[in-house]
Amino acid sequence: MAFLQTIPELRQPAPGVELLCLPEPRFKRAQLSLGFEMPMDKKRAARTLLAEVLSQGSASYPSRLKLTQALQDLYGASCSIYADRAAEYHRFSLQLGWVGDRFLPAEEMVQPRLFGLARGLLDQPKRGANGSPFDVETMERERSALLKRVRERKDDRPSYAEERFLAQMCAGEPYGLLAWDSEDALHELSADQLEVARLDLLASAPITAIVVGPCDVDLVETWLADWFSTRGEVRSLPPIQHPPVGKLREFREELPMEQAQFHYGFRYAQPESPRSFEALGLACAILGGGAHGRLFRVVREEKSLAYGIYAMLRARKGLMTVAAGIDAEAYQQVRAEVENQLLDLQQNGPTAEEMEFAIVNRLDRLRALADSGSRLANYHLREHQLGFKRTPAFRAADLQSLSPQEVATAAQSLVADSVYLLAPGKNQNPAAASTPS
Amino acid sequence: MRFGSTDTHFQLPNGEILEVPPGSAHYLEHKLFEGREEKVFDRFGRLGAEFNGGTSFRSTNYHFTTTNHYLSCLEVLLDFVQHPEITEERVEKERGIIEQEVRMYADHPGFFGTFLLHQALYHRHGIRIEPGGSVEDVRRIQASELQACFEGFYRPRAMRLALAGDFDPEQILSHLAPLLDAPDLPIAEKIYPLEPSHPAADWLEKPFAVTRPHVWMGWREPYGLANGYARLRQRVLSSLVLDLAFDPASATHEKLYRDGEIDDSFQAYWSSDEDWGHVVVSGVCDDAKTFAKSVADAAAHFVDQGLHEEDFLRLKRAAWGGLVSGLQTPAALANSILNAMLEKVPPFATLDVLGEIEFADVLARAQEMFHPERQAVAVLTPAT
Repeated sequence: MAFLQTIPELRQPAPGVELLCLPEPRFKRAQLSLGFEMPMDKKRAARTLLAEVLSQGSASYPSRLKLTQALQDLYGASCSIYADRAAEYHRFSLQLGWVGDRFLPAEEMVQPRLFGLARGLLDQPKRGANGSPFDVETMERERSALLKRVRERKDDRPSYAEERFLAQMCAGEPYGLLAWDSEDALHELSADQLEVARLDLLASAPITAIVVGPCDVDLVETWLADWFSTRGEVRSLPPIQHPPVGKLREFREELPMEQAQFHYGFRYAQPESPRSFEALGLACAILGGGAHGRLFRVVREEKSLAYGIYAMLRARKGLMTVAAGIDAEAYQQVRAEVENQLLDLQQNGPTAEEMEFAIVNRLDRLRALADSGSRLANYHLREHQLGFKRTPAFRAADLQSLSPQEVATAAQSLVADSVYLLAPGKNQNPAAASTPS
Repeated sequence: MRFGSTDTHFQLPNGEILEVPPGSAHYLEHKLFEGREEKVFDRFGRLGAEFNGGTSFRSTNYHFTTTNHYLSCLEVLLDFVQHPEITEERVEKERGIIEQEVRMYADHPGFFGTFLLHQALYHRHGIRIEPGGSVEDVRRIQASELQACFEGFYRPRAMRLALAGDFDPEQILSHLAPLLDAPDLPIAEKIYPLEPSHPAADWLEKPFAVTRPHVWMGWREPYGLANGYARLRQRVLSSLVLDLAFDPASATHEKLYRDGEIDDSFQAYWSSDEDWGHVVVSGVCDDAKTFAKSVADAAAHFVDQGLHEEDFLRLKRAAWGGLVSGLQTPAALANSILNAMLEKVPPFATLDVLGEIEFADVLARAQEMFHPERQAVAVLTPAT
């Protein structure tokens, strides 16, 4: 199986709109993702609630029931709208998916019908009575539901631990902010503020779209051109912050729970070249990239301290983070092991076997991109955002020629910033203490 | 491998009857990855393959994906599932890892609540217990018990193999034969407890570290349909009924959502195997009793409020699209084929069954699915 040797065709159908095209007819389902990126500004609360309100229907499909029925009619097509934080930006996303024509009756025209439905959600919302930009009942219901979800997020302990870790490690940076701002901000939103946020998004947000699978890319381009061609100048986004690293910080919080959640964060200066970034990725993989990673072998296999422990790069921001579920009592041991293993990698570089395992695993993943539309889209979107735009074949060539010294040098760029533990409090999770039997 | 977490009581080919602790099948899965001379992690790692295993109620599955070393990976897979080395020392070494895995799930309300519902729905059935067992179970599992499980069930006749990818089937088949142990080795006889046909409890609740109540409602079948076409058909029919009743495209869902009784956490699905089957409807709510009453009322009356053939036909189209989309990758294809083999139906039979089902079939199934006497509720209440 060969490496893919192409990058997506880049089209610019309208001001501030970049479209990455991967028309791959071998896939069964096509997917199109539109990401509207904005600063993590005060309007992000409005955009977050807006996503919820717009998901409930449009002028043409004025209820969630009608909207879902329309999607079912299109052979289970999907259309979702959501808002979250992506790197240091607030991202408002429209995601579409539909089955390729060759699996459908000849007369079906799913793609254009789905596109019409999707545009209507953002362009022609269901309006409220007396000139209100949105239906008040819908808006209040969605506000209430969103507030409940915000309050309940700590029910998912691992996700909550990650959120708290990043919030404290990156306090004062956009990366540490919540996508919805705050409960107070959500409480105070008016329908007019949502409408301002909607118009602002459509008019001035830089948009990155990527389409992959069995689809008509010309139709996608025409659709986007028709929708956004009248835009003026789009907003330029602030650069991502890379503050200097100070003394290692340690955070500990408590909640009733059974298993502690451990996070360790490192910062690195953005690598100067794609090759040095590849070396950094390899260093991360050798440290904690899966079953062949050092931390997995030592912390799990040798010391039985965790079921899993993994390291990952948050590439746009310039962070490497390590995460594991552990016994709170093992905190110092796990922390020391992370530090020791990284120090050893920095000073002595990887072993020949570590290089072999990590490289062959990454090569396999690069080859396997050809089998999955969603993985292929994610790969190329990341490359585009990082400004590298490398083909899988290009990356494979870099990987195969990297030396252990280059990996050690890349590892040396990692500087410890924060270590965090969310630990069981005095009241352990009451049900976990009496597991069903 | 047709050996899962509920298979804890069995008669070995030599006549000996054994009862092993819950979690044994899952522990055995972990031990197999230890290999003999070399860890399976290293053998697959050298080949660049991704691999994993999973223990479910009635089977334990092992899989790999690779782009370049298909035959070598197949050799590794068939070697480690047939030739483990299970010693006390090796079993002891894994205990801490498995304890951490079990404890990871203990903080997960969705996982915990599902098994609380199983305890309400069933009296003695093995699905009352999580596949990994409890921490206490994990602490008492012995090497000799895992060895007995292995010798009782890990035999070629209990094994099913599904492959998908860009390869020559003839070459694979000729390569396979010498990799399999003698196929005529006998396997153990599973012994299952007799399970009454009605729920064990109509309402169970436990305090948990959640903000609002999490509710699971279940309606069980009085008995299972065994593996085969009948169960597949029941599964497809049940899923269509649930979509008609509770999907966001249903009037029921719209009313419950508009009234604030349910939110986006609400879901409904069908779960079954050879000797059980039940509906699960779950959600997070402000008041568990109100939620349960609203959902039970909706389940009892949605048929009376009028089901339309156009809704059914629309759902069939959506289900077709979902099934086709679900076969996107080679890994998904192999998984689909394996599940069909374990269910004893032809690969992709779901598509045929979906095509054959008519509106009248769905109406009939809808009438029998939500009997109040087969209903049970499990609630995780916010701990104070």
